[in-house]
Amino acid sequence: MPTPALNDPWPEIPSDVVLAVRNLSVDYRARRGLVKAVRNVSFDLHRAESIALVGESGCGKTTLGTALVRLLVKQATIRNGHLYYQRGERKMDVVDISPEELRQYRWAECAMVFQGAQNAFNPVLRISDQMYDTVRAHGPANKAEVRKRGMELLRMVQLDPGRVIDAYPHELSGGMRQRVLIAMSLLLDPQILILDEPTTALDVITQRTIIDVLRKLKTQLGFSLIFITHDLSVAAELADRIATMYAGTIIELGPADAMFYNPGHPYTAGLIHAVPTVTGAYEELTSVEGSPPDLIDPPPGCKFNPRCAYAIDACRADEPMLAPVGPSHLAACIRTDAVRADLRERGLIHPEQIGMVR
Amino acid sequence: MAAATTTVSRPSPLKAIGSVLTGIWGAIRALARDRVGLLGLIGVGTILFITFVLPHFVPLDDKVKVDQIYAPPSWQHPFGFDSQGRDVWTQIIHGGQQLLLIALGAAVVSTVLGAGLGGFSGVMGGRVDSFLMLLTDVWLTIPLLPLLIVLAAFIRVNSPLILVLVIGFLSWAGLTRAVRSQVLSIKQRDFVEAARVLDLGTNHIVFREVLPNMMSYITINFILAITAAVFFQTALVFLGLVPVSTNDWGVMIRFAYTRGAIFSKDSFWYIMAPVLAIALFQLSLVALERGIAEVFNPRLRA
Amino acid sequence: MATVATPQTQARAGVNLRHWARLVWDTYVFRRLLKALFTIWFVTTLLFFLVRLMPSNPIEIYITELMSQYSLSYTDARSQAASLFALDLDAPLWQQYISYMGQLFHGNLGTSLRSPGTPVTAIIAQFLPWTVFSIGTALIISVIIGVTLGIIMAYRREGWVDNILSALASITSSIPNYIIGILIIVFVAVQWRWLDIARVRGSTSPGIVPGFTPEFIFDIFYHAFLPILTYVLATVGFWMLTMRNNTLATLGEDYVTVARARGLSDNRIATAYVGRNAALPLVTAFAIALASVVGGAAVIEELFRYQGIGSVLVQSVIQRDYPLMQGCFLVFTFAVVLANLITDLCYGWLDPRIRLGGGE
Repeated sequence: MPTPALNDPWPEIPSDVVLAVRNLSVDYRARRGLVKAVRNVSFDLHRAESIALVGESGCGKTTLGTALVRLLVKQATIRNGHLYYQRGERKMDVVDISPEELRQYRWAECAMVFQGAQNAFNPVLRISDQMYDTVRAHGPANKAEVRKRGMELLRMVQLDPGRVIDAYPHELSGGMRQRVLIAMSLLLDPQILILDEPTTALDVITQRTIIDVLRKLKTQLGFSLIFITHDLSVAAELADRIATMYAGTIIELGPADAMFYNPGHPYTAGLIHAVPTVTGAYEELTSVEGSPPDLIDPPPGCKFNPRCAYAIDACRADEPMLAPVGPSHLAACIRTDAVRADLRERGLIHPEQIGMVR
Repeated sequence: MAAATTTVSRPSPLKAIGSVLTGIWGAIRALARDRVGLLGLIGVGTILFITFVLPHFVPLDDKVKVDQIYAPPSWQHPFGFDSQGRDVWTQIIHGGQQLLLIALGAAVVSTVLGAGLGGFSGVMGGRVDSFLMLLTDVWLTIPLLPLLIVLAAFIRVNSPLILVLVIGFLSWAGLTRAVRSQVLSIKQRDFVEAARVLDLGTNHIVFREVLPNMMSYITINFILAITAAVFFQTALVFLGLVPVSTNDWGVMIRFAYTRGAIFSKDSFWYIMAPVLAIALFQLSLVALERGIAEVFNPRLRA
Repeated sequence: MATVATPQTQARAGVNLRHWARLVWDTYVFRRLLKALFTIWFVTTLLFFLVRLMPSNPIEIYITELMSQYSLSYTDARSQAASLFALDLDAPLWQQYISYMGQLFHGNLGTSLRSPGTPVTAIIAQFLPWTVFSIGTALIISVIIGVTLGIIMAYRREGWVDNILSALASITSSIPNYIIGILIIVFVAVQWRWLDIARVRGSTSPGIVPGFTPEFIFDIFYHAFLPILTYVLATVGFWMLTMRNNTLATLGEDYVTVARARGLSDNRIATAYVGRNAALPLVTAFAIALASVVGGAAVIEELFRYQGIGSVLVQSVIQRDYPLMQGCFLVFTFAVVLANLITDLCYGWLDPRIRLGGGE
């Protein structure tokens, strides 16, 4: 257990927070310069809570996810920030631990299921061997016990354990592999599970199964969940809170229903198809018009202003900070009132429905 | 199916030639940016210049001069003199033409044979394909140099043309398999599918869609076929299995070896000259091949 | 899709899957065996027709030779030739072919023309061990060095170690092997005089008593040193580059990242996850490499005057000793086919995907 550095005291963190992300920034070295992929991200992940990270591709959500387990690619570095992790009396700043501590933290404390589980398994080892490998990497292990636990988890993800446990990866379908990976991620009883696009590249029925499995597992096992998705319907089904990412930072964070029925940021509103775009097109959009900003040389002020129909001069001056726009609801927008008034007038948002569905 | 819109328009032949020329020019420029490829290009260019242009200006020195046997290199004679006091450098200049022409010819034969068989096999599919692939696999298993040595015992290799045919006949199989698998994968790609849906005919598919997509592949294999042909040819010469008439680089090595010059400390440059010529040619070709592969398609370098 | 299957249908699918896996696995072995046999058949048949039907038919040439040399009558010379070639020249072609194949099947390769009476098999038995010894040793050394350096290069990607080793590997693997051999002679033996080239000729020193003695073992390594060095230098670059590229490709695989996310130790990842998967394709490459090394043996053994089967092949061609030549070539082919078969079977055993994937 690392003791926090003297000049960097352990901050006040409520005991039900398992992971407190503070001012996390990640840079990529690219040929043209530094890509600021994640900029000053802060949020708390509570026990047994699920947060959805949404945003279009390239907004930094996957980078943020991999930064939480410190598995960034070689070109990327955590420039500053802290990842305060606590489990009971154990506290550590994941940004500042030894490689061995980091290795132990991975999977046992925080497991990450990557996008595309198709190739997540070593093709020459049986599932049971890979499960055993995992447990053994974190302490003494007994082959029979690992096998028993593995089969139990496989049953929980609705697979036939007898068939899957001794299979080679290529003998399983894509959806099966995704579920095996989820089962394996729970093998060491981690506090946090990070899922990167858990349902993309799968057919609709498999997607359905996986969402159901995840919801059930979460109530049964009580882990905290961060899942990264561009699919808002998945977010709506699984998330307690939703965080919208844009240009490497969280621009809105709030309870799932509030985010849907009364968004505070025009970009979030755009993602849920409720907002007119700069060009004034009102038809259903698959995403927000325009393209994400250059992260090497981002525009001044609010990074969304070039695409925003509500932008005023002040938006181009300073980048707004996250500020309360409702109960436990934060947004980084100085035009929230104007946006909401406009959306409401056109009947596109329904704040009165907050709290009614769930 | 975005490709469908582009494949319907048929450009005029003139336009096609123009686009090919700009393509080649683009390839050369891209090659110049690739360090290894550029080195290869310069190396191959230099050797071709030495063997095909210089002989017209520099006469062959074949006068025996007893006082200059194994004389060391000088500015006028950069590689010194051989066991009979003849200048080695002019022998190098004059000793590449036939060797390189035979290698080039053999490479043409094996490339045409390989690409033809591979394309045929891939396009035909079914039993023809299975049989040809079995034959290819078997051929790839046979150690080729011993086969060539055995063939040399049966076939009187008394003309360059026979050597071209025999060597070319040896190394078709690698390209056949590569082209065949390329054809199979291209057959499944969108634009060919599009051409088929649009009913543009087999000729169109083969010549307009498939072949251009494989040119890079064939070019690369052609260059490698030249290196293989140089190897086979010089190996045969070194083993003394082909009658020698001209004094090419391979023959120089053979004579240096059989006459014991290789074991003499004084004849260092005499033996090194042809060795360097062959080694540099092979190296340049491989470097050029790498560069071309990099330029054409970075994914080929697997 | 099996993804929504009930446990019952899944169980049934499981049985089916295993059943099919076994079936295809059997066919895989069966197919490889068949291909090996086909190759042997193809080569022997090719040789038969080369010997029998070529315009400069070696049998006719030999008959004329016998007639002029020993002033024999055509019939006498012909019967003598027939016995040497182990062929009944009067029988129809197909009968000759069958009896030829039958002889081969029984291991009868005829007798040498130049040392009459000596069976070809005896000559092969005498010289083959030296080739097997030198090539085998060289390949083992080359694979070990090449794979190790290849992994180091991949982990030090684009660093100076990688750049220098890559350049060296590219250079040595693109130069013909006999050129490397000549360079070794010129530098190691002539310019630097580290070895006495006259003394290392042959596969043993004259007068040395074969046996499991330190002198003898030192002697055979002493004589095989230069050929082995040549084979190693000529092939090690191939292993280095292949292993480097395979390792790089494997390092980029998702399962390696996931293994790291799972907290596996670097050691475990480097061996069971990266190493094993990167080395798998080498098994197939091994057979291909063997074919070219074995082929190169003809030149290298001749160059160093090392008395192995390759040099026997070249000498037999120069002396037009057809039965011996045929025997040597068959041994070459047989060795390569056997190596191919073994590596194919190893591959099927090492890579579980092959059992399902069938042939392709």
